[in-house]
Amino acid sequence: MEITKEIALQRWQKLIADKKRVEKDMDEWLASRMSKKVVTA
Amino acid sequence: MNPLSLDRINAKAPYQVSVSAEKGYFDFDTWQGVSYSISLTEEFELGGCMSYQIGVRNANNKHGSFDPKIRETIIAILEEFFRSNQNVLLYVCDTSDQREEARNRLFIKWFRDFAVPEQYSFCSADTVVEGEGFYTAIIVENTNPHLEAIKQDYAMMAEKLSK
Repeated sequence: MEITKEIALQRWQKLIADKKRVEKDMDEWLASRMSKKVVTA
Repeated sequence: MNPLSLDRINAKAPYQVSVSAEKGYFDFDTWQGVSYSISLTEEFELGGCMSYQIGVRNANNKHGSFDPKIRETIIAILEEFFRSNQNVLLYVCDTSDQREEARNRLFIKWFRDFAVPEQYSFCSADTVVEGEGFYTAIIVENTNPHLEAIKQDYAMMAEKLSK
């Protein structure tokens, strides 16, 4: 498949959007794990 | 993606790894009590092979280089990823974010060291998307039958938005 500039841009945008979304979710997940540790400690 | 075997990961990883049923992240805690999560997010096909973006986060964004067991645990997850899947591993970091620079450099070094040329192909590229700079890298097993198509696809994709 020919990779046009438009397809390349769409792919990079998806990568970056996923990166930001997942990192935010992981930070929240980690914070909830840490808070559970404090409660159970 | 085929599921990764926790038994095989934990047979090699110095830290006990678990998978959260809720999120699907690979979680572990260091001896200093720092919690880590590793994500593998499905992206798009490269050269006819699915790619997965790896994410690494810790609870307080500590550097982590002082503890070799962190690297060894992440490597155990990567090895299992490639053992169970003939897929492409993708890493993206934001080069315009100064705060994350040291952490990013460390992870890039780990991935580079992991991808020994006898076993893996490692390709990287710098791109600018909507004014932001990004460093990206892929790791593919040399035995992957789509290796050349993957490398070509990635190179074309990177070239279109190269710095």
